[in-house]
Amino acid sequence: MIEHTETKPKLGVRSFFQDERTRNLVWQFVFFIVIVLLVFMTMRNVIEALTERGMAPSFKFLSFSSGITIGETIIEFDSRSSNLRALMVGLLNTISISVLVILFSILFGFVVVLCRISSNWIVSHVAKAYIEIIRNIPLLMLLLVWYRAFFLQMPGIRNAIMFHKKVSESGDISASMMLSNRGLHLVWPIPRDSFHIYRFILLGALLVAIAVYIVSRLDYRKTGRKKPGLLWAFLSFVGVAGVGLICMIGNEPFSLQYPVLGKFNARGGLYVSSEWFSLFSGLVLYTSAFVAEALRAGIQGVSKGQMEAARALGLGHLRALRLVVIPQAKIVAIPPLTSIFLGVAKNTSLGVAIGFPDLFSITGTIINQTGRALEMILIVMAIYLSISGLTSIFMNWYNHKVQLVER
Amino acid sequence: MNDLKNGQPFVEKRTPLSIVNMYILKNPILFWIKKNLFDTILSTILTIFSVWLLVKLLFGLIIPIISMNWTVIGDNLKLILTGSYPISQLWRAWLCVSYISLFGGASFGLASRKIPKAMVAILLLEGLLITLPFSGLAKFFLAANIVLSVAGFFLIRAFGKSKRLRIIVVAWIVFLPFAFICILGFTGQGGFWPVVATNYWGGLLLSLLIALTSIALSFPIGLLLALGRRSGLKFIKVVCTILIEVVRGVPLITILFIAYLIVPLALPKSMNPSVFIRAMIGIIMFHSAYMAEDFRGGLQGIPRTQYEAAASLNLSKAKTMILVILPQVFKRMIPVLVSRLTGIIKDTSLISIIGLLDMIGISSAIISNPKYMTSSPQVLFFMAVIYFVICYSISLASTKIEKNLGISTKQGASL
Repeated sequence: MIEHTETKPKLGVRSFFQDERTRNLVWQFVFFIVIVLLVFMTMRNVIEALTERGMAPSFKFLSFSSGITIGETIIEFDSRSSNLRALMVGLLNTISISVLVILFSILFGFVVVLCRISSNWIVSHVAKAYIEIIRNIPLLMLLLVWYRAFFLQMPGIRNAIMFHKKVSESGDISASMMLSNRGLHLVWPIPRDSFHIYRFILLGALLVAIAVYIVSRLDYRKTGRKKPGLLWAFLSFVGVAGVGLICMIGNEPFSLQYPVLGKFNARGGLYVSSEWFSLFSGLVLYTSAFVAEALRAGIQGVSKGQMEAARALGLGHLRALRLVVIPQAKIVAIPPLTSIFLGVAKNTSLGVAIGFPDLFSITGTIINQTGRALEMILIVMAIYLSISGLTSIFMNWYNHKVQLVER
Repeated sequence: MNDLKNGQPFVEKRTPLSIVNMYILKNPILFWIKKNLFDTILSTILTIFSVWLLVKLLFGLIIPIISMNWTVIGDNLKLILTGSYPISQLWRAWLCVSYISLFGGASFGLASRKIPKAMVAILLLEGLLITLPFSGLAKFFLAANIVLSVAGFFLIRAFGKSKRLRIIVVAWIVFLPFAFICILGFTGQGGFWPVVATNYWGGLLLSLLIALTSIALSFPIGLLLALGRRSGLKFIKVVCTILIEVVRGVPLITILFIAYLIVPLALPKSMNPSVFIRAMIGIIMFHSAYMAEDFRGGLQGIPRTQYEAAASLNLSKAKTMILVILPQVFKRMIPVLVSRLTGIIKDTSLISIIGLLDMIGISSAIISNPKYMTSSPQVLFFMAVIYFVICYSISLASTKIEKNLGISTKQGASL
């Protein structure tokens, strides 16, 4: 016999708790109370402990003179500058090195993945060995090996490894590149007086490039035939700038400054410290292995039939890759690439281990100097979160742009 | 075939090249070499270039590295592997290794009937290590490990088929508490098994203990965070999402600094956690957030019909999760978890920055000794090799597991 139970709404405490919505509300309320209590107690403990040490939380110390010296600065800085400015120096170092690392590891990762998927056995296995070695060693270990076992073992500045070594009449030794345990000295163009004329030529070249790009876009709208507009724009920029340079021979806008060996150091040219160079090159090596794997996953995600169909249509291997496989692979590869690029800015914080003054290492120094651990950690977290946020907003936008429009 | 115009039989012109080609086609080895190394002109150039590069690498880098003076490793091996753990108590660390040998052998026995190549390689390596001039203790335990893993391999068959898997799973779950009690000790100083405080732990031992504990603890925390993030309860969802995203947005080193500098302030004064505990808190916080995202991916892979089927069986929400959804998620998560393990092992290298003496911390301690000042490359290379061997073997194992479980998603074509 089946009993039919009436589902009339009953009143009373029991039925009140049997209603799912009420139960959810109660659960959330309990959770809310627990969280609030937890946060409150933590805050109280922290503030009490800090006040006891005479360090009640405040951000005034940011404007005090920092008293630290920083080796590499993009903006002006000396030990009298404020803590806030020291933080800015660190932030700029972090951002500049991250951007360079990302650009170079895209390029290098692309080369690695081309080798990895090559049909040549040796090439593909060399690339595989590279990827596996890099991916299975901690980044910190890699940077330390790179810095201490390679860069610091370079010869001293007097015996530096030099390219295009020249000895002048007065006995000065100069070279276009000097590699020593001090770092890397490179020949570098320095603007001369006539550079202010050349500036206008550069501006003109930029305008021409923009015009070329706009024309190619308009042409694409009209005819539907896609042409490499960006490439053309770039070429026209280089062309105009180059012609300008040739016209100004005799009164060049730049002069090449060669590093000249001094007694204890080299002067002139572009100087890159071993810390900067080992962090940069170590991160490029590390990141490009991951970029290569992400790209390979993308390429392998494209079904084999696509390649065969493209080849059957008479496209060569490279054109089939460029026109058919890579556009599809890009869609698959972008989400993992996003997280790799987000990782780069965070990974620069390991510069602290080899003495590169990035955001985190300067934070550490300021904490040591002032003892303001809580405030500094809050600031640095906020900065990293905004970098991550901006990067992921940009990558999401790009991802949205390239995703297939499903019809 | 006949040439119709002339009425003459078709004769293939035998140029020297075609004879060579025919010879190559017949010989499988030569054919492979031709196809994989000299297929096109570009391929030939690449082959020559990479052989040149490899030769250059061998003579310019690998031979100089091998011919360095490696005595620093021999002198400091104990320090690198276990830090300042008392020498008289080293047998405890060896005991943990023996436990791994026994049940590792048993796990191999569960997986295959013949002794697999990987196990043979490990046994051979252990045999090789015995011949090196180590202490008597090390030799004894190495020999014991060989015996134990072979014994484990065959003993597991003595149990009924249904019991085998259960024994292995329980053994690995019990391993971590066992290792902790074994290494930490439980009697007073004079006793049989004296306590060794965590600040004596170091080297590889410390890294591995922190890594294993962190993965064991961040597994449940990550699961809770993931469930919270998918929960229908708005407030819980928001809190979990913020926690996950904040942790994922900052470098591990900031989380470690929070654990190192802020956590002692936030806790009541009576609790003063050691640096070891603080480092572990930091790593667990960090990896729980990442694990939560792994779980979220796993949960999203479960089709909605599974929930509907469970609901039609009148299972409650909790029961649906525990009985229907999570077992499927766990199975899918195995390869992800294994790669997360290598990630955690690699990340533990950062604890040296907050002053713990893991391998990297030990390396600076060794280098600061004037006797070994010039040997920093050897020390660092050796440690890098240790990390590589551990992480690479784990990732090989993970590929194998992925294949065995048949959950590989890699189907794409090689180009």
